[in-house]
Amino acid sequence: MELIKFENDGGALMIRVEIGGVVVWRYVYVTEDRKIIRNNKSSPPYDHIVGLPHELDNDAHSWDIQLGNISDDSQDYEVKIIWEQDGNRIHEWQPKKGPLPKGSATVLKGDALLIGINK
Amino acid sequence: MKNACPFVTICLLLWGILSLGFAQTEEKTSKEENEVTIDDFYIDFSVPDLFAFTLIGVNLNSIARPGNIKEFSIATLDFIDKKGTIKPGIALEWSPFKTFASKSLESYRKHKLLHAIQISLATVKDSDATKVGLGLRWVPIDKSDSLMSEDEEMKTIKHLAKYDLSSSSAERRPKFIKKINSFFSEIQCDPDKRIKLLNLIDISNPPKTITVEAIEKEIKDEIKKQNIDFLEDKEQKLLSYIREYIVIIKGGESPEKEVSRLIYKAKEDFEKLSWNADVFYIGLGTLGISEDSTWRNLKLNTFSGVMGYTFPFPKKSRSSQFILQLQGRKSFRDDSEEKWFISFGGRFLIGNSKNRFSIEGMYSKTKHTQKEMDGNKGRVTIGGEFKLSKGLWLEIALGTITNRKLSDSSILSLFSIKYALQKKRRYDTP
Repeated sequence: MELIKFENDGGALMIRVEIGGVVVWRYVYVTEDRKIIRNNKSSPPYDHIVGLPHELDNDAHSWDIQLGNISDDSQDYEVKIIWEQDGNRIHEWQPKKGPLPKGSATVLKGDALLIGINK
Repeated sequence: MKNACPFVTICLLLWGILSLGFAQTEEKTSKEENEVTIDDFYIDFSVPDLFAFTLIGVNLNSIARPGNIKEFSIATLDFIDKKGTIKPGIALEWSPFKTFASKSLESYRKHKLLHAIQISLATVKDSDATKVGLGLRWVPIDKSDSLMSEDEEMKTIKHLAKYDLSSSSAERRPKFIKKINSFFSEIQCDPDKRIKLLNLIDISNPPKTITVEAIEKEIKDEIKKQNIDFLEDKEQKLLSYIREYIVIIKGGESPEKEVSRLIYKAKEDFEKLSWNADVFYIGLGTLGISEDSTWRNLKLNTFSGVMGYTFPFPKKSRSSQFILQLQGRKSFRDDSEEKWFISFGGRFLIGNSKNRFSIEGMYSKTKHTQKEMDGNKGRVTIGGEFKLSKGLWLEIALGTITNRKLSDSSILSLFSIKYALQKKRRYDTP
């Protein structure tokens, strides 16, 4: 569970999803009123606005990232999510790394609680 | 037969009306196979004291314990009268709405008051004669009814039973995290502490193989460690959200099994908390006797009415219960030996949802042609009710009955087996 602290007086919150090492992937990122879905066929960028500070205090976000390996070799994946406000990195989901054996798939799940703070 | 006929006709008529009334819903029932049904909520509460025995006046407990209505229950009764004779009896109780009505929760709630009707029939052998009691019991207030409950345990069952295990859980998780978070906010728990508690339930990062109970224990310990002041009912509510969240997070491992296990646990919690809940019932019936134990010679001779109310005593107690009951009988035939009877009494039970002891007292006044049956009587018994296995209950009681007019008292010894017929259900308890 991630605790993401952002400034109440700042700008909109953004996330950037970075997936590397695998060809087939899909992610779902859910906020109270948004659902962001992308897959390996979607065009970049993978930056998304998740909301304005006044909408996000005490909000909970969840995401599922599905990874698939349809190749004949094992693949090493690396996935991370970065939260930004006003161009500044405010939080990072610890990069998830690991081998994905050939012909297999996995789901990475994560949740976050967002708290607004006054500077 | 002349006297028995109207009742056979009434029974058949009732059966017919109910069957017709529900013919339309039967088709619907088959379509609801994959939906949450009232059977999913079945909780193996004690079989209530069978009303027809109370009507005849031979119930093991003169103060009958009402309770969670079963679709079909039977009870046998062997009691030793003051002459030392063993008198066998059998009673059947049936809730026709439970048999014929739609099994959907919405339909049950809509027709709750009809579901609360039971038909009761009992016979008791008395020398060559047989006493027969036939009645209708209505239970308009039953707070132990899981289907009407809005308690957290039942909400959990309802939600889990509906839980669609196939879609992405990310869409559902935020709702639960928010609920859990709002609990911690309410008690002024700062965000860092909240995350510490929320991390305990985040079993997917890193993946943990841990039981829900172990996580609940960790949460409780953490709450204690952090000196968070939590009321018990709030803690229960929080834990039920957490259970649900863990199942959603765990989706993909063995969710079906996990859902069943959690539903069972929620049912067990509900049973523990609600076995002594408020119940009010009212019953009306008629009694008769057949001198040669044939239906042909059954002569109905008495109207009988009973009402009872049970409640936790002391208030909010989960280990004791008090029952109050008022009963009256009036003969409508000149040749009846018993002209009228009225009684009032109470029964105090102490124990839990599976085993309990009781003490009861009853005072009655009877107008009877036989001297030893006439007059004011007091009855005191002590006894117990024990769950032997699923749906099967044993009752024993010992006591004394005193006739004030004759200054005579005698010993009562009673023994009864009650059984609720049950079908195989989804989310059945072991």
